[in-house]
Amino acid sequence: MSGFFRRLAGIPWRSIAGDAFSRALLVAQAYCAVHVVDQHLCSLAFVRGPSMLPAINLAGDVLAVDRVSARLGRVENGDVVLMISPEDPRKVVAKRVLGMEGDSVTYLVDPGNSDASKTVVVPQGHVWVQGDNIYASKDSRQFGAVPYGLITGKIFCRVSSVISFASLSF
Amino acid sequence: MARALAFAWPYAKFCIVGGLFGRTFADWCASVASVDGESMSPTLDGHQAERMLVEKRCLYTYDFTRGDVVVLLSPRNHREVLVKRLIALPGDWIQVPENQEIRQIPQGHCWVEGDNAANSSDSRSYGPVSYHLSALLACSHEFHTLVRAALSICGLYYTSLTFLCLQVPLGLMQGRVTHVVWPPQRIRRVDRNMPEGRIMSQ
Repeated sequence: MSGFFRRLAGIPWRSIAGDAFSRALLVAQAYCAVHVVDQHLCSLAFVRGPSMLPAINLAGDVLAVDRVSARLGRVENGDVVLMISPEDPRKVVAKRVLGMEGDSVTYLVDPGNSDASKTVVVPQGHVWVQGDNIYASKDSRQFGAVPYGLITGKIFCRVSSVISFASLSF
Repeated sequence: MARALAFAWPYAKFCIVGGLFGRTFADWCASVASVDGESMSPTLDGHQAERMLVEKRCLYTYDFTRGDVVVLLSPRNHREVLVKRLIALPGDWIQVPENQEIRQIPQGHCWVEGDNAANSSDSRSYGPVSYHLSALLACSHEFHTLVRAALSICGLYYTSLTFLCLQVPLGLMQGRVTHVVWPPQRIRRVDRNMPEGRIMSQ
């Protein structure tokens, strides 16, 4: 029994604790670096749904998101952006920007059934977003222009086309 | 040259790692902000250079309570940060003070107001404040402002303007004010309270 305690006392606890602490610190630093890069520089997003067909696949695409230019205000007409949904802040949606503040946007009110169109002027600090697939998209035509502050990133590249699963089927 | 780099590298590494930790802490847990303007007095008084603690845990599930003091991006200018009291949640009916109309807050939106609503016209005396790199470059003459700008890059500190009452999407929320932490004689909790008789919840 006393031999057990003697062996216990012989273990270098201090250096083990020191090692464990420095490894934990390394893991914490890595996590913080990944978090900062993901939230503030560049990130990947998996986007799916019918509202941006044909640009974004129904089953889902991995897209590269640029957070810096959205934060600096460098989003322009024609950019696809990732934004927090104005109808549910827990959801992030991808849409295309069709009007910046001050622009006058003309859109089809009910594209499947009628040709009626409306023109609105985008208010200050807001943007007009629409899905590419206007028949199956909930966007500014339903909830109006959205404040620019809801935009979290600008999509600049599709990553999943590099790894293509479709090539196996014919 | 290489020796100068080798000498400076540990300090540079310390600053970078400190910045990463600070930014992550500010994004997930809490940060410090200050108030400009008067439209949240007497709760928060900009003239005494008060600093307040902004907690971020409410952003995990966007779980706010009526009466919270919140920090949000302005819907008119995404570079401006506002501090307001959240009066109504989605689905509530609110009586808008200016024109006596009754309005229902749509899904995903909320109603925010300054406490000092009568004084909201003069709080636009400052221009918009940006807490990004341009702030760091513009005000690097005094050490105090340099430190403030550096901290603002880490997201630990930013100034805000306060005005008006607005219906905004909940996605613009950046945090909730829980305490005033500076100056020492003003350290206290910031409590929830609601204006009487203006809200009917669902």
